[in-house]
Amino acid sequence: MLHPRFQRLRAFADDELTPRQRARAATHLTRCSDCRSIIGWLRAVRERARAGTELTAPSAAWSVIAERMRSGEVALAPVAAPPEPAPRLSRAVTTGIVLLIVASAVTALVTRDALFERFVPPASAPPTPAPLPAPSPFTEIVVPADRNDITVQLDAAGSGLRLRVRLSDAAELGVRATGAAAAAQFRSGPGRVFITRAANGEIVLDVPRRLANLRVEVEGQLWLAKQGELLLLRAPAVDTVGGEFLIPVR
Amino acid sequence: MRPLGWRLSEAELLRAVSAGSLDALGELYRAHADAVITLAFRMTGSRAEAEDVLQDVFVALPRALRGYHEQGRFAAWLKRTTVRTVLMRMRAAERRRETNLQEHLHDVPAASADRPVEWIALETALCALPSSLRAVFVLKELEGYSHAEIAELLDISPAAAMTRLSRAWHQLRKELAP
Repeated sequence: MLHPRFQRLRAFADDELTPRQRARAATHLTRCSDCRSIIGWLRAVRERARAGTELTAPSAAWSVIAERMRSGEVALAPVAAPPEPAPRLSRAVTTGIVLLIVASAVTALVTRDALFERFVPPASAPPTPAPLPAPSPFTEIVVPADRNDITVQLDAAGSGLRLRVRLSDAAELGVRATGAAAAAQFRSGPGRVFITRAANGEIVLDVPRRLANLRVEVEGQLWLAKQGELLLLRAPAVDTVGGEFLIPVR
Repeated sequence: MRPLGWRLSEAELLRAVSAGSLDALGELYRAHADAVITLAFRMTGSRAEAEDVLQDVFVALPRALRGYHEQGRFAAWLKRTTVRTVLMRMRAAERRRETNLQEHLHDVPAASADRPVEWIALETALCALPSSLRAVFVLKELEGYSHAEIAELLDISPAAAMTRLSRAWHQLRKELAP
């Protein structure tokens, strides 16, 4: 007897199959005790996992949080990037893409369904996972500029990291990290932002024009300073791109 | 001034937190901290890491709430913020290769009458999953997110979320199936 793959049974248990696929699987299950036992195992594990650990927040945690708040620590939660508007495509290009997608989907459905339902034995090797798309991490924080004196400290930077500095009319200092740099450690204290272990990627500083004093230090060295209207650049290399400064850190 | 507490609506409470009220933040903490630390623990498998996430989420809350516009769905929004915080810390830890399976295993409680051996085996197997697979498993099977929601949270495609879930189940099956 040909059995559905484990992946198909998992999808059956999760009610993720199309009606046609579900009907086929159900027909098989009525006469296959092995597959029924797998479904039973899947459901049992899920129920057991859901009934798993429920933690109670330790009482000491609130004291730490309150202390961190009182010390003026600035929030550094990852904020989801706002969706970017999709580029507009011409009608011809759009039509071509739609046709390509439809053709690919039809081909995939025909071959996958046929192969899966008829030829895949139960003991076949696990399917090769599809390559995962590269993640596009994005971390953004804002630091109130009401102190008028902020130091941004960048340490243990990885290779390929760039620092992009641009002046803005915003009221707050914006620090945005993209690429692998978004996985850096971000911490803050009053008037200070620490960024450590930023890998390749980009860190963008949106500097409010009204901010009186800003210091950007890389590995303890002063690379950029803003004093009132004056901007001092001491980095080893700086490119000017439009109204921005691009500083290769590594 | 009206005292903070249960008499404040959630919207009022959130506005007070956003304005910097520590008392209001404490109210939110009492209401949601257990859910936050439980979710963080399920995703990380580490009690210490979950406590760090709990602190980071609530310290970040006043400012993060400035971007909150989903009135009436705060608990769901807070869960997503928790997931994002966990993922950010996971990415940083993975780059530093600081994830220590043995440390995580120590966080699995011993078997007892309340926690039979099967439950301990499942917790151990979940902890042994790579963080990318465990995150998808927890979000789908324990938290009830759809593949599309998981894809959005993890910055992957829905197909990749499905693939990761299947891989997680395959690994669990290898560890647990009789």
